[in-house]
Amino acid sequence: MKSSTKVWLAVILTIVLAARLYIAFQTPHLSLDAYTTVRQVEQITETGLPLYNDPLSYGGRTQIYSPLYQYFLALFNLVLPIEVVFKVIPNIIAALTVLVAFHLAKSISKNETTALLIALISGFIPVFFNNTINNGSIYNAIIPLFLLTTHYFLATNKDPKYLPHLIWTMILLTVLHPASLILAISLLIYMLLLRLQDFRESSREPEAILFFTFFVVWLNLILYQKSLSVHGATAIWQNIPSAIIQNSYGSITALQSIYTVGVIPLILGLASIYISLFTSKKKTITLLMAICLTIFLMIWLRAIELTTGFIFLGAALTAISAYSLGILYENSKILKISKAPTILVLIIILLLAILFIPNISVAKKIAGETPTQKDINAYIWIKENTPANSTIMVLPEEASAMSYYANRPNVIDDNYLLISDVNRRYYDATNVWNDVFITSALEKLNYYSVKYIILTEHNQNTNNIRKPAFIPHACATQVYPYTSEETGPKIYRINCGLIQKGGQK
Amino acid sequence: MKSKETTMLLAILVLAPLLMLAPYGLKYFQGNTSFSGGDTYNSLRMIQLYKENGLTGVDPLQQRAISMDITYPLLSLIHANSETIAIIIPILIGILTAYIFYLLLKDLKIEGQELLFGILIIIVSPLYIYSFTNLSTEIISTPLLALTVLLLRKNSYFSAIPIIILAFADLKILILGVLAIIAICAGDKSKRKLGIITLASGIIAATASILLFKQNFALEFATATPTLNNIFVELGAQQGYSLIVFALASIGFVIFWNRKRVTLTAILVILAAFAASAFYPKLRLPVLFILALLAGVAVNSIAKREWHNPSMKDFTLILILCSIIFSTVVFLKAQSTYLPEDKIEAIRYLSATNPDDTILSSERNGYLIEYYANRRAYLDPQSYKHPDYKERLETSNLIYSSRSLADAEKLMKENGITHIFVDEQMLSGEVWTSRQEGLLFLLENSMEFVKIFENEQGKIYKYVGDSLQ
Repeated sequence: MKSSTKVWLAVILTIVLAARLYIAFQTPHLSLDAYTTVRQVEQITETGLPLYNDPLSYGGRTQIYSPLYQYFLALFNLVLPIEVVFKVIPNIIAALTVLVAFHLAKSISKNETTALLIALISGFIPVFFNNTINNGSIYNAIIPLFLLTTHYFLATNKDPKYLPHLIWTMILLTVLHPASLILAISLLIYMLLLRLQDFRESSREPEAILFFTFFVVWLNLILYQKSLSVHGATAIWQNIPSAIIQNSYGSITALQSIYTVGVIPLILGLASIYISLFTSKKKTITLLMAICLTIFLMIWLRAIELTTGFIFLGAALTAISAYSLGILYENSKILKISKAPTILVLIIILLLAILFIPNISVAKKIAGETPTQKDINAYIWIKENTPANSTIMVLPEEASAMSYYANRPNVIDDNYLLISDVNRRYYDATNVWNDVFITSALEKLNYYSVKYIILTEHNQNTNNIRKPAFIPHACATQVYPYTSEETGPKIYRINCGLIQKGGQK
Repeated sequence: MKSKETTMLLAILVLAPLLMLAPYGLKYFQGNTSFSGGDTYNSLRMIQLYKENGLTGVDPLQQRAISMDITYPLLSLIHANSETIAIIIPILIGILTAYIFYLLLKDLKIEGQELLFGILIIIVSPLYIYSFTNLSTEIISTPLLALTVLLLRKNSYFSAIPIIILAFADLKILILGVLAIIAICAGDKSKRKLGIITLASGIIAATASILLFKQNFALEFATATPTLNNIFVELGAQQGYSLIVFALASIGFVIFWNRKRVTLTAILVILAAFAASAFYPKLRLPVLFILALLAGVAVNSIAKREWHNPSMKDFTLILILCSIIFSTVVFLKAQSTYLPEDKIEAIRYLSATNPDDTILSSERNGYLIEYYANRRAYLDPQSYKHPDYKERLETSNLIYSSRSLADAEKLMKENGITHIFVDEQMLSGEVWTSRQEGLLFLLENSMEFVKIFENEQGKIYKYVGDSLQ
């Protein structure tokens, strides 16, 4: 690698990291969806053990997850505050995507300038950038590792010295997250495509694929056996309530999808696929094509959450873009325009900037979906003024934050695995605020043994409600704030229970 | 070579019964005396019926025609207690079936490690363990099918005998047998004459069986819903394939295809049998034998292949082994918790009801209610073979979903339903997805229903509407 390339790569890495950290530190708190992981990391920091039996989530349940990522973050939590750990470390790891994308692109296009451009594009894939900045998402680590495994798979075909690297990245990816299944399926489809395209099969490829496939199947069977036996094949959807899946798939237009995945990766990626299929076949592109095809099929079959699917699709399309961009760059050299390649690079950078700058406000908005300071104060009030076993009703997306700050059980949070009546719980937790009749609300609240309900600022702003519809009623007393403020979070104590058959309350 | 064969036979004779006895052993340590699988309870009741009444066409408890199946009359000839019949007989037949399969593979020139892996995969397969710890009709029909194929391969005219018996045992497995015979004849011209004789015997016997005993022939072929969850053991199926065996069998299938040792007819038969087994769970046991053979070929191929990195090969083989063992262990654990003592206690409580009472519960609980409480179940896993099944299913769904007391009462009275048995599975999605949904609301809030029994595994509600009036 040329020294100038190293400098440019360092510059790109710095720009990507700076952009991520700048947005992450725009808000003092973490995103609402970070708190499940925060609680797990803090538990590991305090006890050295993962939080498998969580007494607060759903009023007490078993959690199923691979704790490797949480252990990694807990290491930093030993010396740094949790907010700093979650804002800095995952963003550093995510920024490393730039380096991986560079090497992958270089192996595809054999051109360092093209690889640098791909590295830059990979740092600003809109869906990846927006959804992983302020929540410590595990995808910060999964995406670079996914691309690294792909890179080593391609490298091993050319040079067996990379085999140990490949094995280790495969193991790490599998241990970290079930997303390794995407790569395992992609590799099987890759084998099929190789046969269809009459490529000569390297003898090392089936070995690595066999090993990886069986490792993925074995480890996921062990880790997720319980959820598989409870949910069956639908465990792949992580038992996400159907309302959420319908919302995520139903609320996005084709244009939004294109913009989310990234316009440049999509155009260049499709061009690469076209060239590979109809003009000049290339084995490395076949692998990336198989990955794109797998993710596309999974999105189409709704076998993956839409945002997660787009994150993987964006990363895969960015990697495959290197091929067409490389051809474009090489062809620009023969144009009768002076410095045509430089102009091409500048155009790509300009396009990337034009397309990405409006996205910064979206990224800021998503990263800014944190609990407000007033909501946090209300949670702390609950911690200090309510009995330790009081179950609190709050919106599902806020429940982990509430349990984190208030240390009280919730009815439903955003980890849905192993919950048998998840659709009903989700419906109850999102609709109890609109119940006009106290009997209807009490039926729900009594069932989950809810003692307090909290109407947060987030809930008020998101759903445009100022108080639960059944208020005022003697069965629900406002206990926070003591003043009759119109705005700000409100906490109500539930005083009544429905009388059942036989006089039982 | 000789020592390998001895190992294989030892594996069949020692490992197979040990694994099949494992669920009972685990249950024993938990103080649970129940059998494995719901079919056992129906079989025991049927055998008892044949012992008491001889060849009978009617089930007096369920008041319906009995679908003629030679398994029960045959087993009723054994003079032993129900434990021996329910536990020992299936295990012995299981060992015999594995041995027939072993002979069949040898006859097919599958030898050495392929044979060893195939047999071992069969023995540790959850489906094999389930089938031969569960007293059902498959335990007779599968070895009959294997025996037909073996005798045909050996050019023996006796091949007509097992297929004739098979025609009286299970028509679906008979069809599989017919397909297997066609595949054999297509690949070996010398077997055609005998094949035709065997086929003709089977078809004549099947016609006789249909004319004499199968009153609802079409309903014999009612299909199950083929979802992944009821095909693969790891996803919750009781009578399903292991995912890892399926994956290995797929690899083995490709290897077999590449070897060009099998005819296109055989390949089509394998694919058709597998596809049909998704719809007919009873076909899964015979199909498992094919899958195990293919899986054995795959494991052998992986083991024999020259790998660039030998330690990766060893690790992959260890992973395969661990995955197979893991599936088996998970299955054995699940089997050991099947039918807890509390549930038996709850169902036994139903025997305190009037002999004429009809109990409404999940189809799944039907055999248990009939066996333990000796009461009529409104629906059981045999109901689908009877013409009023659709109507009954509709009625039960209407009752379960009814929040109107008048509607529920009317339907219950019309169908003589007096008690409702509710278990945990019914409450967590099988029938109701939320509290107070449909009939649950009435059961909890209406004075017309009284909860007469409750424990952790079940609740019994009695309809007392008539006495209130």
